[in-house]
Amino acid sequence: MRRTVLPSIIVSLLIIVGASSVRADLTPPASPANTPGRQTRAATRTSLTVVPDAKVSEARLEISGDTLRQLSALANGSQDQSLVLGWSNPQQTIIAGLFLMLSVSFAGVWFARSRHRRNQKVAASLLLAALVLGTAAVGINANIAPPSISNWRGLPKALNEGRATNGSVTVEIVADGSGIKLIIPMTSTTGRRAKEE
Amino acid sequence: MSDSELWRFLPFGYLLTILVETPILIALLSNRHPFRRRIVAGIWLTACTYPVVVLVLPVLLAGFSRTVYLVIAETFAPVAECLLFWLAFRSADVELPQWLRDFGAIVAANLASFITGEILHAYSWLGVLNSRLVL
Amino acid sequence: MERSLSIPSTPWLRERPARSVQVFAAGLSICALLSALLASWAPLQFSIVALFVFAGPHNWFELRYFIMRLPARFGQSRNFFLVAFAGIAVTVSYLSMPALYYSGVWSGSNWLFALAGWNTLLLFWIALLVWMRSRQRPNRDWFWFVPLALALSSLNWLAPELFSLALVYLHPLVALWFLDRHLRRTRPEWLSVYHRSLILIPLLVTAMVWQFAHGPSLADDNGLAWRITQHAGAGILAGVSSHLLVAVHVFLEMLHYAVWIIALPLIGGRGAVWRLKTIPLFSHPHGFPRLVALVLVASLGVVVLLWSAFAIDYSLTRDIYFAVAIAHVLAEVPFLLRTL
Repeated sequence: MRRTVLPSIIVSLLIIVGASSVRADLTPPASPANTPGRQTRAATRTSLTVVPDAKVSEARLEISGDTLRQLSALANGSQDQSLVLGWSNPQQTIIAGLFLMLSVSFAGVWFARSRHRRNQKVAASLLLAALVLGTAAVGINANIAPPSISNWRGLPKALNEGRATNGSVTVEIVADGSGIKLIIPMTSTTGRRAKEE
Repeated sequence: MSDSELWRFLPFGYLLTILVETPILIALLSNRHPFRRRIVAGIWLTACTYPVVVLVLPVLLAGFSRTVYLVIAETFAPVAECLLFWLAFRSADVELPQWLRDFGAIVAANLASFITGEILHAYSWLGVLNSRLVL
Repeated sequence: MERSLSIPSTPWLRERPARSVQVFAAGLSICALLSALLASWAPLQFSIVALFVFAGPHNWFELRYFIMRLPARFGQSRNFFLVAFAGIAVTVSYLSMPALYYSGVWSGSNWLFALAGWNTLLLFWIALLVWMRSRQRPNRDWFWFVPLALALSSLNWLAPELFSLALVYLHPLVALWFLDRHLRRTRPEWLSVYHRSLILIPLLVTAMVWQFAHGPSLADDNGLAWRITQHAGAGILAGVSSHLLVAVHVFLEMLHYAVWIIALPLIGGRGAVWRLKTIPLFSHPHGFPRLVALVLVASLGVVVLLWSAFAIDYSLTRDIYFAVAIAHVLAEVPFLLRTL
């Protein structure tokens, strides 16, 4: 078991070096089904922060360079799916997945081959830590948070208190209309969900 | 699918896979493996290969057809799981027929989960999951 | 009379702890409470003052501690220390990133990739040291650290900046681990009191979170305030109040300083910090007395230089200090492992 440590480190380093040269030729994404009465070309998701500011006199929309590239790719029907779908970095996902596989593999083989009974407690602790870390990993990357509506539910109160509100948003490029329209999910005072425009 | 969607699919797909594969491993693994080890194998082997099947390969093979992805993924998974199983439970007194039976059980379990996945995919996951999450 | 003689003489009250351990517990609690109060009340100002006053001295005390823990002859630990000193290369690789960026050689693209790669290098270096240390104890099997390091690497690649931020917050707590090991060796009877006192820390952090989580962020419209809030993670955790982040970070840093400057030198020490004969590398017949003395005196000079630099240009000195200070973070790893 101990003899596999150094080779495993070397393999891991090779994974990093190899993945850094990965290039995927990507096909355009399948366009989503058209919603009746509204034609869209393509959609993507990103995050949106609404920041009330008492010091400014005009509204301002700040778009990061990465998001602009994403939107530009969306508008142009780009071949680079990673840009359009907003993949943070495909190489990072690949390396993270490979390390996850190595971690679980080594843990299982070590536990199965270990002769020390005390290691069962260590294994149980590791399993608990793995569950916590795994939940964190899925949460970070799956954006597993309360559904979008609950992020925006507090928007009116946050605006009154001068606090920023952050949530996920689907960006759609539509064929008709002009300008930019932001649609926020809200619950009405009667508790029924407000209809979309 | 975006990478966040792949991550969201990961826990659901993993749970479903072990629900399918573990009973098969319990039934088919050779007699030298106690019951607890069969359950652990069902949970552990899938946990090893699933990140690659769900996270790594879809990103690596994003420019290829679904068929190519399935061939590579469903070849990788049983081969890797057989290798890991051998590394974990190898012993000098185990004979070849027992190993062949164990490897056959692992391949059968993977085949069963693959077929289950394809059936669910054909029926759009019965509407349980957002169709955008479907591979 | 006979009845009174038959009454057992065991005291019905538990024996009161020695005065010294009471003083220790009180000191710990007061230090933690005071740090939390100051960090909550004026986080930016407290951060500036704490760094100015304590950063240099705490590094000097760490250096003295590490020199004291170095064996006069490496013996079987030679390879362990060789790998430990390879941490210097890890430090240099960390410093090369901003150096290459500011010199115009590297555009800064793939910054996340570079950061994740360095974090992975750090984890592998630590894993190697853990493995080497475990081999020095035949009845220990620390191989479980390898899957843990691989899992942490996976998390790191998913969110490199978050991972680095986690290191910023966890590093101050390493000093508490050093103190634990130090007490085991020198004052084992104080350990239970120490462990019970540690519960104060999560309680105080919870109180800070409860108080400041939904509060307004700090005004960071000047360069220094912005640097402080960014270092505490305000740019990464945009939805969290920077008041909370800076307060918690400064609180943890103060605990770190208190352990290195006050607790470790005073508790169970072999003598005053200026008594160099307590250092094996100094007093051993095959030691290096002049080199040890020179290093300690020179580093005192560096502390004075740091104070001067802070006084002249606090912001620039702070930036340089935090870049170079990664070296002391890495140095703690092998010496902590040596205590296990």
